[in-house]
Amino acid sequence: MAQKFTRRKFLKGAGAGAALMGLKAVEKSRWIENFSRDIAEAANLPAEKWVNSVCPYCACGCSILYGVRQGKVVSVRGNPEAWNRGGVCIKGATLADLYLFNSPGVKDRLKKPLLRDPEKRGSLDNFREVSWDEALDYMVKKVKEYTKTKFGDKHPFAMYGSGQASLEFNYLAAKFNVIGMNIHNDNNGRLCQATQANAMVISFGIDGPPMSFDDVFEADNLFLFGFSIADTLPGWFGKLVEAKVQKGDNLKIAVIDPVKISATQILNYKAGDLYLPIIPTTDVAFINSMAHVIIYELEGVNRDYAGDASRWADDVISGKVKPKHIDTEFIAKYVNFYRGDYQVLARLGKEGPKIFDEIKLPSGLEGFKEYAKFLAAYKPENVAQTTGLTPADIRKAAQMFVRNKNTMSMYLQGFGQQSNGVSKHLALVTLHAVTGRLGRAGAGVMPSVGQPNGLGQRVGGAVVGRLPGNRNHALAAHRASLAKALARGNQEMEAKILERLEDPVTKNSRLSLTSVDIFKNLKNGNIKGVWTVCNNPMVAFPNLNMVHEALRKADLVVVQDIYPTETMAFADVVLPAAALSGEACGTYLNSERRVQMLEKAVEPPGDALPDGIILLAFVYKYQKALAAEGRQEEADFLKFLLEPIIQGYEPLFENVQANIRELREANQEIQKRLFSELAYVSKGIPGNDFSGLSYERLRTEKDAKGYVGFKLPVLDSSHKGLERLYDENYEAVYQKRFATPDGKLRCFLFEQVHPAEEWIDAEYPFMLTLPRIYEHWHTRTRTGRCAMPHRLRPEAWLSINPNDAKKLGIKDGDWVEVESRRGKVTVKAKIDTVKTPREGVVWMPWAYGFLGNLFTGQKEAPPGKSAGNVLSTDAYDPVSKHPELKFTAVKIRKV
Amino acid sequence: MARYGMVIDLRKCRGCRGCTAVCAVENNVPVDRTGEEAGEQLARWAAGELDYYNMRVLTATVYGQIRSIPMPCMHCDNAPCITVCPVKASYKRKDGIVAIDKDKCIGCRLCLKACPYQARYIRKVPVKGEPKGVAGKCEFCAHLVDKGEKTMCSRSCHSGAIKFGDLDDPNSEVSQLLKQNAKKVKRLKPEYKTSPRVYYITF
Repeated sequence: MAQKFTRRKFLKGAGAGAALMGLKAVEKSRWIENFSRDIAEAANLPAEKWVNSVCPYCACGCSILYGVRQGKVVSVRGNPEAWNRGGVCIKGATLADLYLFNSPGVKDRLKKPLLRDPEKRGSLDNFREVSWDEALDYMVKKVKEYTKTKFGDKHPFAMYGSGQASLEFNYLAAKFNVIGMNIHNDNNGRLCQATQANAMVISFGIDGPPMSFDDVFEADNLFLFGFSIADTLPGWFGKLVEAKVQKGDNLKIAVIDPVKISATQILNYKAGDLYLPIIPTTDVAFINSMAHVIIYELEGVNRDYAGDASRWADDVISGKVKPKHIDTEFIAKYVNFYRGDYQVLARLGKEGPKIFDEIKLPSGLEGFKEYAKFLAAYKPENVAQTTGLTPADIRKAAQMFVRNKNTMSMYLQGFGQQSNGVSKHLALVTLHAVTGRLGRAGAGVMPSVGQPNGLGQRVGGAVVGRLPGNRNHALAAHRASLAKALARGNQEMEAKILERLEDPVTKNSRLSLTSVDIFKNLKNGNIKGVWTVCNNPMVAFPNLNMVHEALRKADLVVVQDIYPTETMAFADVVLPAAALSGEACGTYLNSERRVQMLEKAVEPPGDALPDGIILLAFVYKYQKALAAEGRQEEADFLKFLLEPIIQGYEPLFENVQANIRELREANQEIQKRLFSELAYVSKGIPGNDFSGLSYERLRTEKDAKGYVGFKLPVLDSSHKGLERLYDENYEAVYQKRFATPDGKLRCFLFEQVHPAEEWIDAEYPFMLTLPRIYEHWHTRTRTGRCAMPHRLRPEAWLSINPNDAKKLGIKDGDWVEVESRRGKVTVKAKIDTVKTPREGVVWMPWAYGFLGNLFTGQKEAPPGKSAGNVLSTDAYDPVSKHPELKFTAVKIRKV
Repeated sequence: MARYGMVIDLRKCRGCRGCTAVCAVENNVPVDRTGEEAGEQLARWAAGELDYYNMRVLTATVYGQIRSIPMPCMHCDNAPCITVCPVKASYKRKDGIVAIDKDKCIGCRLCLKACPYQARYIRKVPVKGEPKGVAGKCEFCAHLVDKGEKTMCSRSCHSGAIKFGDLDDPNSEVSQLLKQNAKKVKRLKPEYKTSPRVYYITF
């Protein structure tokens, strides 16, 4: 009977249901030897080749493989031979959506250079398609006028670069913007890891995250400070989960965060894991209080010395007392102490390390005595109100900190994006150092990175304060060695390079403005124009109303990107770029200092060109224009810097439009030259030296663990990289434990510093934080065009504590108006019982801009009805200039 | 002959849905990625209209903590979907994979009702020229398994929660895991007596 029942008949439908009722049960289980044809073909059209690349999203830097068929990407898989062992998250997996026929990822791509009248800014319309040469000539004409005057140490034009661009591009930006053209240049890393970089320079002597992902397997205790690792670095979180399952309750975890972040899912509260919902910005008080508990209570200063830490420390120094938790050997050998003073530290960038002399305290154990005395005020009861934590919780955390030997702390934007971020890092390092929980496998402080090439932009030198090879701009010796390396023996040029980097009279650094100041000065008219690369400040930047005004006011706005962005609505010139991941080649450095290779899988669409080629083409044309105008000296200088990079390819840059294909081809070789030049330049910089690396090695060799890519430093052509910095292996290589001049760690006695500008009051009673979410990457430029992330998180919302919601009479799904001192947004409220913020704190994602739904094209008016950054403040940390995106005072009203 | 199965360690699963996403790419669910309507289908998916997956991740909140369960097809030894199929489109391969012959399927939905795990769905968009409205399900990436490879979800899990292999081979990773965690191993809905081949290691 069943056989007679054909599919077509059934689907015709009439009486089908009734017919089915009469079916007899068929035989129980059938075994068919040859399965049907369509299973074999159920998958995508099979890829012809798999091309090595790296996911363009977070700082995990998961190695991925692009499946290519007939010149098109058909699939994406994780690379099993990389540190991620084939793992990908939903963002990486859905990259394949961007290449589907007729998808938003294909339809929306920028394919031709665009130009329009500056009067017509404000929307994505009114552009006209032009040739590369017309667009670049237009820019050159304007920029060469700007470079006749100066603002600050540089000419009043700025590039706002990106931690998503390649290491090579970031080096180019350093070489030609900071040195060659002498214009302002900073990256979106300022919003992401400026605090981490600056704080590491202060404490360790050089920048570079010292630990590796696998250290979570070695740790006994893990402290997560303001680091929503499950959402922001899901690949690393996978390792953490594995470690927790493997080690069970031998790995204790404390999460210190105002929001009950996704990582709290793996806590076992019964076994003593802790979730401490701290009040934003108050971590220093909490850290110092833990130190207080360890010294005064656990070491018995209160009990045996009636609270007199000074007498106790004397007995420790004389050897009468042997402390249980304090590592006197480590302190005596490796630690210098300083007074924590923001005003003095803020001068570091300009004046260099001599400022440390002003705040120096005694070294070693004598300095430790000062620290012990300083902590007297941080009794848990005294800081309970400030931090919002109970004294009992602080004591538990302190006990956990000194439980067993290996304690590891990691942090990300909970420290970074606050105006007292640097002090938090320094207080934390001091606690780790005095307890000897630093510089070992599984013990130390790991300031994480957010972007896929967040570290690469620092190593490339495109972030203010960093120079190629991750040199310290503030260090005279580093400036001199860079000038020497770039000058290739030409002394006249060496002097010229040095002159761009330092004032010949005062020997102070000559620095570009940092990101926030670039946009503020754009608004004031001091900076004439900005060129954004792989960047979307109209969504990602703090205080969007300020950015909005700045972009409208600017004389020239250039946007270089792969898709239309909110920022493009204010551009005069749009330059279509090739996506680095998939369409160009280059390298990325992930959060554990691993350099990985991205190979070109497919041709970019239309006339799109790789980022580096675009910048080089501009510099080439600019240099020609200067020469034609008689500015020979400037032109010669640029020509000298260009030579080793584009030698042999000059004719291609004469007519860019006619040579698109050739330039894409040349990019492979040019990137390789850039990498080897930077590798050469990086020689001798502790922890960041990769003079032993080349494209060949990255393509063919594996590291000591058998993974693709190498961890910095890679010292020679047989060296396989160092697993971590500042441990015994590091000391064996460099004969110094830390990268400071005397090889000692700089530890600071920092008081809790109040945020720079604003605090809650009766009018603005709630604290808002703006975290990243798992489903979308930054401003959704790509993930907003992928189906699954969009389906999961189509629009912004405000997460609120159930108790606060009750007080305000807000129900789940109600529309609420959130207003700060700078603007307001209207979003749906979500009474969050999973990622619950503490009472008095609310959070919303900042990924959403006024382009709204990228699938349906439904837009809002700028700066956007639900753009979180309308609310945030552009106040910043005085040392790192990292803006305070994780604290804003707001009021909430049901609408 | 190998007897394939899966062991999913729920302690390691944090509901990131990476498995759902890679499966969607690999197996054309719910979008036919090879077709000319891919873009349009992607928009329908994004709008929530196409909402079926081979690999689903169910989540529940237990004492304020999220617990997630990845749910592929259980590839039961005693599969009700095969029993009820009126046209013998559902069948079991020798290696234990439960599959559908799309040419035979009449889209009657009986298997959808029969499956206690709701592993099956009706394809709203046909994939690669198959008939319209046929049933779809996880087939343990049979196209990869036939080449000696593992399923996409097990290869792509960041925390290594999903393991795939031969349950008959005592030395395989899955057999070892089952042996080591014998007390914690559970299968879903044992009351249906379906004897699933997907095992879960519980807390």
